[in-house]
Amino acid sequence: MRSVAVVGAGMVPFGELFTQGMKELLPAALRLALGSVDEGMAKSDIQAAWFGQLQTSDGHPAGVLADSCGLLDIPVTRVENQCATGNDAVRNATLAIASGAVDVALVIGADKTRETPVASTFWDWMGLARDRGWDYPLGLIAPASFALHVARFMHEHDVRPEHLAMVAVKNHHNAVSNPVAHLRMEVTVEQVLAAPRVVGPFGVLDCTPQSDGAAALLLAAEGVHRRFTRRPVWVRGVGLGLDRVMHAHKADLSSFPATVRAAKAAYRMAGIGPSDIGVAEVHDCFTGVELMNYEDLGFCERGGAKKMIESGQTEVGGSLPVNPSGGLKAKGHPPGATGVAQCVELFEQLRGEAVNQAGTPRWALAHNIGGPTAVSAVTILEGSHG
Amino acid sequence: MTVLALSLYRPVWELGGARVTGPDEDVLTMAVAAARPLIAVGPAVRKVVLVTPRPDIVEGFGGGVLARALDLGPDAVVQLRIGGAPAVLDALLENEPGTVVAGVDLSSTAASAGAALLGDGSGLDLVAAGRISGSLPMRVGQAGHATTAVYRDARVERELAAAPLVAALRDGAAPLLAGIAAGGARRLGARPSAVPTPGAASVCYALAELASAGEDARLVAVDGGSGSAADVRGAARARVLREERPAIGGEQRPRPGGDHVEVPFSMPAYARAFEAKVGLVAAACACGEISYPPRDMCLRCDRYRETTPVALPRTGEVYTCVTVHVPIPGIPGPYALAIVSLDGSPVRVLAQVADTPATATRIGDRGRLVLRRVALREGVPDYGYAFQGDTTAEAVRA
Repeated sequence: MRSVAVVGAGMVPFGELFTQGMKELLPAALRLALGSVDEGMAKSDIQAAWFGQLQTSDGHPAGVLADSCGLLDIPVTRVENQCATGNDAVRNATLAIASGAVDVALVIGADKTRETPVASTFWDWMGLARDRGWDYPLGLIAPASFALHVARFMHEHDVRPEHLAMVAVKNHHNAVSNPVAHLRMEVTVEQVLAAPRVVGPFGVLDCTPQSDGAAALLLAAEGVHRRFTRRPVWVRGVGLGLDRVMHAHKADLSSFPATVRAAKAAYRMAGIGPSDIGVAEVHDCFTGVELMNYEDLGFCERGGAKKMIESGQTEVGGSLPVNPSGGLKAKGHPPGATGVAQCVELFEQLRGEAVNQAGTPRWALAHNIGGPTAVSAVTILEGSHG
Repeated sequence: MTVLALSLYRPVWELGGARVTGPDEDVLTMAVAAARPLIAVGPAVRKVVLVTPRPDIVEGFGGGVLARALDLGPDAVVQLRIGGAPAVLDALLENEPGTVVAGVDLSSTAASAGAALLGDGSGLDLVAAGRISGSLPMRVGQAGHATTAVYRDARVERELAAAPLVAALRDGAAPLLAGIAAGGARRLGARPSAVPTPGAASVCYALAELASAGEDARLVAVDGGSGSAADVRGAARARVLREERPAIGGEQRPRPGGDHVEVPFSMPAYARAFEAKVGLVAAACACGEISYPPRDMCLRCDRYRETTPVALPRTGEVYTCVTVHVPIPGIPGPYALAIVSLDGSPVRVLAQVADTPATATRIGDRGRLVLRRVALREGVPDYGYAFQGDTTAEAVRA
């Protein structure tokens, strides 16, 4: 297989983008990615596109991308894999280039989460992820789906609400200086704990906002990449992991087996282990989920997550900065765009250009977990100065 | 006719001194709550007669849900009869052994349910002692109207409806009177029963009272201008199964959210799930693996559709649980969700938590699964099992 380089990356600032539909967001993200390519890239250089979109706002996803961006002469594949959609789109494009079928590919992710009224949002999302005859009518809304895990995780490892709040404090702090983040405000542990309750251990400030947004990456085959940059970032590992779709069928809710499987595949492909990772963007749709990710991704042993957050290890100045962009928690979470945007942040981190630069990392990891906690995608990137 | 056993049920919620239903209870779940303990008593049940003064569902009444939830055979008969106390007594007098008669009241003043199992053998004998049909429409619930028209004059009801019935149906001694409030009964020279309801459930409560006291008597049941009477003999021989949990303030019940949404409903998905969901039936593969909901392909041995149905245990322990505080249109809240590990089984189920304030449930709590209306989708009730914790339970078995 050929090595695959990321040669350009860009994203639209996340937020409640009521004035921009899918047809506006996609060209905006594409232009930002093309503009980031050191030696320049023409749209006509792109040979194929993979489009990650979870919902279908504004209609047929692949058609809308081809139409709005003027990409009618290349194949466009829509990828949908719940909240793992973004990194799964990266994986699909990577494999196409690695195989030799394509030399230059666009990966773009976008979603509009604020296109329906708040009252119907929970049912809209449950309709995408639940069995209509069984779990759907029970009201297993997305935060409850994750809270059932986190409640058990807290029970088994004596994790306190304060530990969850520390994740919110850290990620909100990182977002303040990030111009593309949705929620650029500091919060305190006390504020997080006192915020109105949503589900179980999660208050409002433990939850991701509902964001609109789009993000794009330009990938090129090794060799071909020299036309575009002398400072590529390499996609070294991609992994996808699945799990049981009904919560009652998950043997151990203190872990996300989908994450364990995806990470194992990505580490094996990259030929590295968790201790090599220098910076990570992980799926923190709810604060407690970030703590579980530390363990499932192998950043610490089982039960070690609370020490990691207590010690400040995952802050930007720490030994393994996690979510320097602000994460889903504060940068925002338009599901199809989320994983792609994580890679945009890590592209900048590995080139030393990030707003919250985490030292000079060589290896970086992006991670999503989604749906009924049944799918995870992990991407491992390597910088050029390693 | 012989009554082998009686079963009484009242909801846990209390408002203004009376028990009221939770948002997940209706006539059907109340009937199941009262009738299900009788299924284990003995003879096979072939027929259920459900009597209620005001059914909450008429067209599309869930007789099949009732039969499945009670594990009756596929040829079981389920009848819905509109009526009060006399209709229940009539049903007990008219039906064959192997019949369960259930009376359910959802009145806002008192929600209760009672059921009686008819059979051959040793039990409480009922002998018909007269009936009178009259008309004094003190309460009229018109189809399509949410409220019942009530002629509010207790003296009129007592003097014009109940008094002539009691006079005609008594046999000298003061009869036990069901179907009218206690004060009215005393003024008529009859004995009130200490029942919590004057409606359809009252006959079972009155019979249970006689059974518990080991006392024979004439029972007169009245409703509007109609009445029915029976002599009760050998009352002590009937078993009484009584479930009444300590009351919880009704203001702690989950409440409907503000916004209205129609929660989408899929009839094929309902149909596929029904047998396993309402029957609480799993699939056991030839290799021993148990799946719930049933799977066609065995996860352990890959056999395809070589399963037999197996009933799941109905007790278990909370593995994890959360409270949903955020208002969800279409679901009364706040509500709790739990994953419950069933006793002696590899099966876990996801269920809403019933009959307790939404934040009260903890990991490790023990309890059981009870049939509830888990959702109402596009006007269609969706029945399934909710988890009812033991922690606030105090089931009294007499």
